[in-house]
Amino acid sequence: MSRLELSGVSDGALRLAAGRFDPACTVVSGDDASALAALAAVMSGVAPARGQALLDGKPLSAWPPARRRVASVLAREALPPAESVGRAVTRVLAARGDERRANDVLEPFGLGAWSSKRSVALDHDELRSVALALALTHAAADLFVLYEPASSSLDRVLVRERIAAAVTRGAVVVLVSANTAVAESFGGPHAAVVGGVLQTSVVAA
Amino acid sequence: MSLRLGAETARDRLVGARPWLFVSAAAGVVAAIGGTERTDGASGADRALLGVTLPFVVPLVCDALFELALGRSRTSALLEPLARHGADRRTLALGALLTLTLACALATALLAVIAVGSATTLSAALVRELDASAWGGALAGAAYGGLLAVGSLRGRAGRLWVLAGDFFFGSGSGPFAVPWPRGHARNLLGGTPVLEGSPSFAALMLALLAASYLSFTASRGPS
Repeated sequence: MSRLELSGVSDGALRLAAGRFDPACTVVSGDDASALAALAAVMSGVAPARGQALLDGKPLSAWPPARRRVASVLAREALPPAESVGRAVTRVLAARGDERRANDVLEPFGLGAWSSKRSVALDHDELRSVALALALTHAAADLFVLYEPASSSLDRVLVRERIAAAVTRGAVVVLVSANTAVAESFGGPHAAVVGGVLQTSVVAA
Repeated sequence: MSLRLGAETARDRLVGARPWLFVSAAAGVVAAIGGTERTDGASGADRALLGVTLPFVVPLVCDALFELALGRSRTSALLEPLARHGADRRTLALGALLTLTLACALATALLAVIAVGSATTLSAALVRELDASAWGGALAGAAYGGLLAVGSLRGRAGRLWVLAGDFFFGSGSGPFAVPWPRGHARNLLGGTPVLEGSPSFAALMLALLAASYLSFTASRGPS
């Protein structure tokens, strides 16, 4: 059973985040998009200005094997520089130690045609869709951190099925969203970022 | 794996920015200057190489290669989309910086050869001069690549600061010139030595500077 812990984290608009996330689908909402974006980034392994995020006691920002167990979508997504989307996705897969090909990730979500597109030709929403496809096909992830998972162009039913499957197999799933209604539709425990501070008292561990 | 990913990322970013256009323009400038200095002996080549190419063109071209790959950002920003998914940040950085340093070495070798070739009339000794210029240029370029890698820890501003340091401190021949590529490159390519060292000492120092700057830079920050 994996566990995500935030210890004295602060980064930009996120003034303080501390708490524990156990295996379940937890929704984190709030009205400050910048704070939510920073929270999702820190939970994904981006180094915060202060504090740290720990996956099973290992610091995510300083321990690459721990980051390989994280599937994430950030507020501002970017693919690594490459001549095509397929090549960029292959590099991401290689970084997380996944030997599959790009189309194994893109085709289940109907994105196979993008494989030959130039990476720089993708707009913000398309980049988020590719990132979500990458996250939801991560077979070995113990932690899913998904920023606004309902706002991509992917089939919502398929997205919900994949998230439910991750929860069923015991992963820690954190959905970060400024849209409270959408966030609550996923069910599960709820936390909130209020005034830049993460309130985890409502999380049922 | 992370080393290869870092190298491929830097290569693709660099190639996508068409660096040969910039290097070709610099080569044209160097060839034009060499043509105006053309003589039978080595004095024209020395003036073309040590007067303009080494002090001005080489640092600017090496900085431009880093600029094309990294822009105003730090090296870590280019690599974060891979580091986030589990690649080791330090090894990624080493791969990317080795690629950029290799590009600097190749570009500087080319510029040195063009400077000497365009400023010297055809003779049997020219081939030997070109060979020495290519190797000396490659070492100087590698050292500049290492220096700019250190500067890139602080982005574009950091690169400009280290180039300013190289210009002011490396222009001398005393102990303050030791950690900078400029003085050793000048020595290796026929100019005033640093600490009265031999050309072999200069070659060794350039190689050491490149290796130590790169390893220092790659070891900074979290993995």
